[in-house]
Amino acid sequence: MDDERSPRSAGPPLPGDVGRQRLSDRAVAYWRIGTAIVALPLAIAATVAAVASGAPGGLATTIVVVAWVAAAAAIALLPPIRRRRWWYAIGEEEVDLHHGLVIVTRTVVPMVRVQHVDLHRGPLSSQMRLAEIELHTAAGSVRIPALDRDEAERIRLRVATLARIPDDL
Amino acid sequence: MTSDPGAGAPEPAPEPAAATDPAPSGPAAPGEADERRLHPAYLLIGGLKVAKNLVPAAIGLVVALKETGLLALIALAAIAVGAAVVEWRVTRYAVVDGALRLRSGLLSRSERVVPASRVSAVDSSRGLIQRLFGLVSLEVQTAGGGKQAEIKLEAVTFDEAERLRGALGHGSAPGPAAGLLPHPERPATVAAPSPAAPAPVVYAITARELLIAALTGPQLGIVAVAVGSLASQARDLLPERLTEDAGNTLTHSGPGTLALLALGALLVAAVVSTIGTVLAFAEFTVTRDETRLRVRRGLLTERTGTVPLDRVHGVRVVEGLLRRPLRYATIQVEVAGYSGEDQLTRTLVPLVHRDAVPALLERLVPGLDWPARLHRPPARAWRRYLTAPVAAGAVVGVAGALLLPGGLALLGLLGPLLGALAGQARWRAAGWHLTPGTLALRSWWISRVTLLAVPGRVQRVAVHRNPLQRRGGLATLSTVLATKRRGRIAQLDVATAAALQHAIVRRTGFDGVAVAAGPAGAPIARDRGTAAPGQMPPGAPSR
Repeated sequence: MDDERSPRSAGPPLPGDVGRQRLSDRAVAYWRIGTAIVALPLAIAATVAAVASGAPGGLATTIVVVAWVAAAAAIALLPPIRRRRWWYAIGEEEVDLHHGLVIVTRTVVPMVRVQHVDLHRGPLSSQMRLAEIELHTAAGSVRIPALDRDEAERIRLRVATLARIPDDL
Repeated sequence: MTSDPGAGAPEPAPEPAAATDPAPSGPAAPGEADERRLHPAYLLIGGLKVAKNLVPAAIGLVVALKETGLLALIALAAIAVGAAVVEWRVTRYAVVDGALRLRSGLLSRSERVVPASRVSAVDSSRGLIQRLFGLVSLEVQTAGGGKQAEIKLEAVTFDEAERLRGALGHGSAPGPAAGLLPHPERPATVAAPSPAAPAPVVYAITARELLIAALTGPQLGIVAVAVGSLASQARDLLPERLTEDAGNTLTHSGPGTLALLALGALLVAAVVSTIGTVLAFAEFTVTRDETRLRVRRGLLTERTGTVPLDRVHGVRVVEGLLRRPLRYATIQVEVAGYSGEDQLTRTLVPLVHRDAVPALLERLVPGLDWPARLHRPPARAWRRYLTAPVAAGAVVGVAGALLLPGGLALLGLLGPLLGALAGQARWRAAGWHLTPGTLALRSWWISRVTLLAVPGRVQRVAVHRNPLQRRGGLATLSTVLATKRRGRIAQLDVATAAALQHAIVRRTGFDGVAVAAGPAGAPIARDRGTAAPGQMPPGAPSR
C-alpha cells in the first residue's frame, strides 16, 4: 500500500520512512458518525423528493436506491479506507503526512516553516476523546484529524517546541 | 495637536539626526512633538479622488437638471474640495519610538502604527500632480501585508520622504540587516545619503524591448474585457434615449457593420493595451544594492518598488505564446509578504532575450541558478500528458458539434486536436532540476513557465498519486511557496518524485540519474558542468 520510500537521495531518511503513526482507533467510528449526520438526512431528503415529486416509478426507485447506496458506502466503506491510508510522522526537521482516498498524497512540511499549531475539538470529537491538529504555515495549513486527545496534546507541545526556531519570511 | 497649519507643513526636519538614526530613541520625544501633515498639494490629489467618485452623480445631475445642472456641479465640486480639506487637516503622521504612526479620520478616528522592524520596504510613486509639485507618494509595505500598502502618504516632499526612509531604516544606505543572498563582489560601500545614490543598474529596458513587450503582451484579452465592462457601465450612465438609439442603429445594420464594429473595438483594445504597456514599463530599470532590488518604471506615473533580497523565494521566467517564437521572456519575482500581488508589480524584468536570462538572473538574485538543462519525466509518461487534454478537448468538441448547425459541426474536431497540441506542448515543456540552492520546475499552459525556487524556503512539498498513476508507477510533485503560489510537475517516476521530495526538504541536490529515464531526443542530464551545449532538451535556452 504505502510503498514509496526515498531510496536514492542523500541524507537521513524522512520521518515517515523511520516510524509512522496511525490515527486513533476511534477515528473510523468518529468519521462514520460524522458522515451519517450529513448523509442520512440527504438520503431521506432525496427519498422524500423522489416520492413527492411524482416522478415515474422507475426513475423514483433509481434515485432512492442510488441515494441510499451512496450514503451506505460513504458511511460503511470509506472511513476504514481513509484510516488505513492515513499516517503521520513528526520528526525533528519535518512533519510527514500521508492521506487521500482517490488521490493519495504525501506531504512534507519543514518544521521551520510551521508558524503556529492549533488543536481543534468539536462537540462530537470531544465526546469521543478525539482532537484535530492544524499546522499553519505562511502558505496555508495542513491538518491531522481524529487523533487521540492525549496524543494530539503531545503533538501540539512537540511541534510548538520544535518550531520555535525563528523563521524569516 | 497643533492647529497652526504652518507648524504642520512638511519642511525638512530641523534635527539632522533624524535621517541617520533608525533607533527607537528617535528625534521625537514620546510626546506629539513631530507630528506632521501631508504637503498641501494633497488637497488637489484628495479632491480629485473624491471628484472621481462623484462623476456618476455629476453626470446624473447634469442630465436630470439641465439648466440648474451647473449649480449642482459647483456644489459637488465644493463637496469634493471640502472633503479633501477635512481629510488633509485630520491626517497626521509621525515617527514615534521607532514606529510610523498615521492618524486620520474626523468622526471615526483611526490610528495605525507600523514599527520600523516590521517595514519590509518603503516604495514611492509619482503621478502627474506629484511631479508638478515635486513630491512623491510614499508607500510603506510590511511583511504579511495584504494587497494594499500598510500606510500610504500620498504627498510628501523628496526630503521628507528621505527622512522617513531613514527613520524607518530603509534609507539609501544599506540597511543594518544583511540579506540572506549577499552579493559576493560588493562589500558594504560608503553610504551616499542622497536619493540619487548610484546603485548599479542591473537591467534597463531598451526602446526595442519596450515596443516588443507592448506588442506581444498578454494584456490584450484583459483589455478587451475591460472595454466590454466599461461599455456596459457606460450604458447605465448614459441617458436612456441615446443607448436606445444606438441599439436601434445596431439592430438595423447588417452583419458586415457588426463585424466591422467588433474589429474596431478589438483594434482600440490593442492600441489601448500597447499604450498602457508602454506607459507602465517605460524607463523600466532595476538597480541592486546590498540587500535589495529597486525597480523604477512608468512614464506618466513613475513608480519605484523595493524587493528585499532576503524575501525573494523564487522567480518565474515566463515565455508567453507570442514571445516564445521571438525568443523573449519575462521575469517575475516571488516575494513573501509583499503587497501588490498583481502581475504588473511582480514583474522584475518586463522583457529580456532568452539567451540573456541566465546572466541576468545571476546579477538580479545571486544564488538562484538557471539550470543548464532539465530532467524530463519518463518516456512512458508521454501518453498521460496527452490523455487528459485530448479527453477534455473531445468533450468540448462533441458539445460544439451538437450545438453548431450543418458543416460548422466539423469544427468540433478542433477540440481534440487543440487538446492534443496542448498536451504535447505540456509534455515538451515539463522538466525539473535541483541543486542545493535552486529548484527548477518547468511547465506549460499557454506560456512556458520556469519556476526557480529556493528549496530552503519552500513551505511544503507533496507527492500525489491518483489511481491511474498508482498503476503506472507515476506521481505528481507539487510545492507551495510562501506566496501561496505553486510549482508542479506531473507524471514523474514515483521513485524520482519521492527522492526529489526528500532532496527538496533536505536541501541536498539531486541529479536524478539513477531513476530518471529520459525520452528520445532529450538525453538525461548528468551534471551541470559536463553538459555539452548541443545536448539540451528541446527548447532549453543555451548559456
